[in-house]
Amino acid sequence: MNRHIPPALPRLRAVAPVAAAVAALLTLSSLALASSHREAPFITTSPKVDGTDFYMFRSYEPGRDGYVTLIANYQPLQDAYGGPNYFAMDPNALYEIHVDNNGDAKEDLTFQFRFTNKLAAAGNGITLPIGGKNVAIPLVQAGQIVNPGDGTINLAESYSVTVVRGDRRTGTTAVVTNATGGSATFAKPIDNIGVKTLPNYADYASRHIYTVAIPGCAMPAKVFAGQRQEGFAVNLGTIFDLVNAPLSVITDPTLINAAPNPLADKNITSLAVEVHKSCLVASDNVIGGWTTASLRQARLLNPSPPSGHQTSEKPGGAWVQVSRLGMPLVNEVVIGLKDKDKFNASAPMGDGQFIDYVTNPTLPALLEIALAIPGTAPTNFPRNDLVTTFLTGITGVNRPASVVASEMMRLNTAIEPVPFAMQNRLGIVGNILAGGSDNAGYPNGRRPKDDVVDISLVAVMGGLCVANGTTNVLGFGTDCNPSKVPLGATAFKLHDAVDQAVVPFLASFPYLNTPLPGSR
Amino acid sequence: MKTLNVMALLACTLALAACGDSPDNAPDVGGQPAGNTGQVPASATVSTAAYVAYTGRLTASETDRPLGVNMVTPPTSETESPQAL
Repeated sequence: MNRHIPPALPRLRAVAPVAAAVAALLTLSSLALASSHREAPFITTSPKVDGTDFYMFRSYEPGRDGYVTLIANYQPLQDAYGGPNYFAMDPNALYEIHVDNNGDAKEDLTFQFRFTNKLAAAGNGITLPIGGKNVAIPLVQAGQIVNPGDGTINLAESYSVTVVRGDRRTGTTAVVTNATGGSATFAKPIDNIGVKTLPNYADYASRHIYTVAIPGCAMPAKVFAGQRQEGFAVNLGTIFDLVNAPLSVITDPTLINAAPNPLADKNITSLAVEVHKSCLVASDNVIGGWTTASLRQARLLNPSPPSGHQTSEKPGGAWVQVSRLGMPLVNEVVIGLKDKDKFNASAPMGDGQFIDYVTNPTLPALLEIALAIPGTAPTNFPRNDLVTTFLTGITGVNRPASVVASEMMRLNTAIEPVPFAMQNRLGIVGNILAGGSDNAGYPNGRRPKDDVVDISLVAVMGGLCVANGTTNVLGFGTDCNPSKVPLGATAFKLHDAVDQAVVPFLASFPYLNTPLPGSR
Repeated sequence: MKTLNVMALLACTLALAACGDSPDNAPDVGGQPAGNTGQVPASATVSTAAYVAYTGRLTASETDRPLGVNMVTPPTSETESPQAL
């Protein structure tokens, strides 16, 4: 457990390249308190395109260390019992994972996921003979499902993956194909309805992991799209209820797992790709990544929808981005309410329009109000330390050689992955404070185990400037010093009483756990 | 009433032809589309710009019946930028 105040500060000085990372990590993390579930007004009306978490990390599955795993999660707060339609993806949406590999704040590589939902029997659905008539059933399954493509599946989801090089709309496109057989269509497993329908969901789902060929990439990749157990842990209800917990609890390091994780009984839908790093990088080992979802600009609702599946709309026009997610939680607790929809529609290259939210963040002041601790927010304004770290990456860790300031998750693909058991739950900063050797965590990318919430709480209340000391040891400027942090060392003790590190994950791609069943 | 609808459709078509479908100059597909039992005019689906412009002109109504859209095949684009609204 790495949440003690640094006896270790002198050690930070000794590990200069990563020392900057500590501060930077704290800074970056300070931008968040919860994940990106239902974070903006419009997106609450369109949950199927609501991006919730984005992970990007060097694969730590044994034998896969040459690869980078990118996971974009959508459709928040899924209750496993949510039948009979469960959580199919939107066939009228475009889901994308973007990679900027030269620091210019523009995508150089994009993976596009397009979903298709088909009823069995050529769109008529499975029928049963009832009194001499064949009548369509009301469920997505007509019996037990064991294998992909079983005849009992009434609604089959499939998807394609297109890789775009250059601009995501006008760049060069190529179709990703199955390394076995060359198909360009991949089956998505039906959601985990329950153990009677799907007696061995883990096995069933694992057979939807595809080894694929990406045109232009020498090495084969993997792809998976399907339901997973929610991997994010946060004391969600408590935090948004004005941090409804005693200060004595959330500043006691022995109580980091004192509260149940409200998301522990939820599922999510993941779009995951594992790509060899040689396919992702250009001249710089640092890549930036983020996910977006888009809908057609125009839609007419059909007052007389024909028989079929999801026939009530007639979408047309160009794609309009309605969801954006790179670093966790930015739009949730950094961007002002009036600009949340704007942020979701924006591109990294235009992030200058949101700069005030970083230089003068409201979150520390909100915590003062919520916790009834007036006068405890850091006072080093403008928060240029946050701006530098958040928009460019950390020098010596994940800052590209040439960088246009912009918000995205940045990963130095040259930093070796660390086995799960040895990963520090507080990412780089926790590792530094512990004197370890794990530099592969948040904010150098983000692994499932990284506890971005706890790190954020520490940083938002000034942990970064405490660590920077009175002599600017971490290079965040002399104004970022302990005198600007009324909480002092107590800032290092903050947590949300929910421990990210105890969430169950898989040891291999797609890493996020088997989804919870709708019945047991 | 039928004559008026035909005239409106004709006007829309002419307007489309005159304006083209440049994303920066969305074509005029006429005013409020036909209400009660109306159909989406063919002119509204000749381009993504026309479709957006048409749907953008649909004003909120508490009394109109919805348009029939079963015969509509909306135009889509993978490369165009969205229309400014």
